[in-house]
Amino acid sequence: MGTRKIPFNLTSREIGKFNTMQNLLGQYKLKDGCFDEVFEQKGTYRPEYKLLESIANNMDVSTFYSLNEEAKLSFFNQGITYALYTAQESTETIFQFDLMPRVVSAEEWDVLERGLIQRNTALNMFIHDVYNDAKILKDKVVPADLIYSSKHFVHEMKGFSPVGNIYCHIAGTDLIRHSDGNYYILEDNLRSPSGVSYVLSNRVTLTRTLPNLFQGKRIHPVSQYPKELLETLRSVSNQQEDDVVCVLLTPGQYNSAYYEHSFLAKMMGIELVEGPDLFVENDKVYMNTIGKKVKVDVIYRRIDDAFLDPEVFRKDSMLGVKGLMNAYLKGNVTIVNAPGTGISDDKAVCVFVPDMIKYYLSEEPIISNVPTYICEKPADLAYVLENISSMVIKPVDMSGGYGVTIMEELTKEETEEVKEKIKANPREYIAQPKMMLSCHATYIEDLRQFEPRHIDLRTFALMGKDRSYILPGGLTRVALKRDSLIVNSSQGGGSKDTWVMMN
Amino acid sequence: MLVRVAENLYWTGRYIKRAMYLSKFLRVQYFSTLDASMAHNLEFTLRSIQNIFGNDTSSEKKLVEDEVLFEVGFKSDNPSSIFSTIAAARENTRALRHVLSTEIWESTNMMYHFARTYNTDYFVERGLYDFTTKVEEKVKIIRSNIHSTMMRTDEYYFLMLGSWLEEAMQILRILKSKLSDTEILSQNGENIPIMQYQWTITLKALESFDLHNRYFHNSTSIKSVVEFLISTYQFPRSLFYNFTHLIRDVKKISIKPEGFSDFVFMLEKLESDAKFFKYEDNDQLHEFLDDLIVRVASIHDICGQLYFNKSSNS
Repeated sequence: MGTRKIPFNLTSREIGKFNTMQNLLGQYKLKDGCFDEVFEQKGTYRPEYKLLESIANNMDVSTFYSLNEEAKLSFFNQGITYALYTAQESTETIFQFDLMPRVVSAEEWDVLERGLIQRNTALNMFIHDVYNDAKILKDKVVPADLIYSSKHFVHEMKGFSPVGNIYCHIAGTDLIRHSDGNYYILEDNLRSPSGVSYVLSNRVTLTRTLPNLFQGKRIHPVSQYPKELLETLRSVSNQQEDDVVCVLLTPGQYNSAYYEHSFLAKMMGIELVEGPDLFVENDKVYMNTIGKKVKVDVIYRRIDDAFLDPEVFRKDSMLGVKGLMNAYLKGNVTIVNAPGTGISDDKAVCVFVPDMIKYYLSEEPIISNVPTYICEKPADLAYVLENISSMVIKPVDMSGGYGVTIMEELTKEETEEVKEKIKANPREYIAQPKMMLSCHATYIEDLRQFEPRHIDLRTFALMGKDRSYILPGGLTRVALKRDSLIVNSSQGGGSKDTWVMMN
Repeated sequence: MLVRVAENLYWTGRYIKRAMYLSKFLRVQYFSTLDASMAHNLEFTLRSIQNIFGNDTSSEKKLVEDEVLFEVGFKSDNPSSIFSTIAAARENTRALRHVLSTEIWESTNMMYHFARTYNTDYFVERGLYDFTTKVEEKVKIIRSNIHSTMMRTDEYYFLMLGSWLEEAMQILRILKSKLSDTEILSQNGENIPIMQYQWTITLKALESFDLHNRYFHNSTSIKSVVEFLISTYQFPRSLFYNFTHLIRDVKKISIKPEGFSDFVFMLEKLESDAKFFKYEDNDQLHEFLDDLIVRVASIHDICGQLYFNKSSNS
């Protein structure tokens, strides 16, 4: 046995008790009523996790501790951070990363991949329909009021068809696994879904930190995502393929997802621009460059519709470009994702996606929705109010876990307050039964042990003209607080590398 | 190239160079007070430090050492403190992450986190040497990454434009400041060795003490020092060397906007004035330095008009 190096002041009792990872994981307690991703039962790994068992058997626990520190330092030095906003200030924070990967079998992934392509195909057909013939609304499959009352409905888009009829080129679909072992769709993010850079960085960090973990394993790579994204952007340009100029439009370096914006621009080799870097001349978009002006063909925008063009949307926007919508509607530039996709990002509309799949594709949905009650519907509202203590209430158009209320955690008075809020403005809320997100063994630094923590999975779909691509795996988000179901980074969540095994 | 990107590159070059000069000057100047000959001149030294950092020195109030050191080292609302300069370098680099190499970004980010987490109490008590030398080491790593990981394209030359310009201004300001210091000491009736010691400090602050001594065979005079720092091409921190390389890099920028020829002519005139400078007396040196400071400052303005004027295209 080689010389042992103990970087932490563990007591000899602790070292004796947990001298290998396997012993540390041996202390792991499964959570009742929750699907555990790693263990079938105490001490028995699920088949797809058996590949981690031998590593756990052979790794010294102190080595694991120091690798965990190295991983954190690696994130810190790379500046892989996001900004957290409070009333007083914004602070740059490292996205917490857990060294133990999540493993998804090839068979499971095959189903998810097909289900995600099916869903996003139907969503694109739906948006095109809404802004053109509105057949699905006339046929009363989806209530017209729900769409026309959405604050994300963009009137300027009526009668307009973008290249390939693709509106949502980049979709972030959140999945959970319930206690029955099945995956469900929690929500669709169709405006500017973020998090993909963490998928790529997590893989790089895990490979750097634990290289032998990957040896001999057949894991789907994720590094091709930027190339696939660029190809998707180019596919929806009106220009000849070879001449396409794509840019990534960011609100700037104080935006919470700025790291991701610069990362993706760098990986794709395209310009990262801010609103003042672009200008419109004769309904064409140009970059404010030194020397000759450069025409822009595709804008991958990471700013909301409201800020895109002060002539059409918010007049006070400093982030957008005057005249951009006009250039877009004349077909001189492609905006990715298209303006107005927020109508299907609405959590109340999410409920109807299975119906859209049947309506447009004549197929059964491959992945089910989490049961959702639309508070605007009187019957649903009555049910929600009657069973409110077992519900999770969500605002229809907020993201990042903001505004989510788990009713069983509230006092009687607080519950009454929420009920009044819903009754006063039912269009603004949906309700879902409290779904028990699956658990995954997660290393908790403060306790120096593995504990079950709830996780979800944000997947990333790229929908281009005549092409689609689903990033294998996606971002597994972990609620680091014990028993918490809120996995968002802005609410104290972390992430894991997600391995999709090859056949 | 985007106007904003070019401007950020220029400022990255400036702030990185500024962080290095401020750190070095602070250390050399502060530790000069520990020499017996300067020990009774602490107040004078602190004022000299404040002057170089661009802080207001007009107040008659007695300076408190800890307060001055914190002000120039870490005060975040003082834009010319070392910490603020490092933070500004990092902010500009952060805006360029898609343009710069990972190595440049990570080394700049590491320097920022080093400064951000440095114990400021320790700094003012006994950490000044440690902090300033480590900042310099980190700047050298960044500069090495710049030289080894940047393509010799417009991005590199805009960054170098900022870097050369900042260096010229720092050399001029240090020279001007130390010239004023010697005159104040003279008025205060200090002896000649103490006044001469100011030129030793100057040489050390510009990393030129050893080279100067070898070049002039240990014979130090105001004439030898200022001519070494202004007109000796072989010395890479001289103004002559600096202007020559500034011109070389400006000419390599592929975009030649209207007014470019006049700009180059102006730079060549500066280069020529530095090259042929000969020290006569302090008045002539004052006049020369004042003139150059104004002209170097105007280069900055002209760069803004030639390259960074965002309204030119719109």
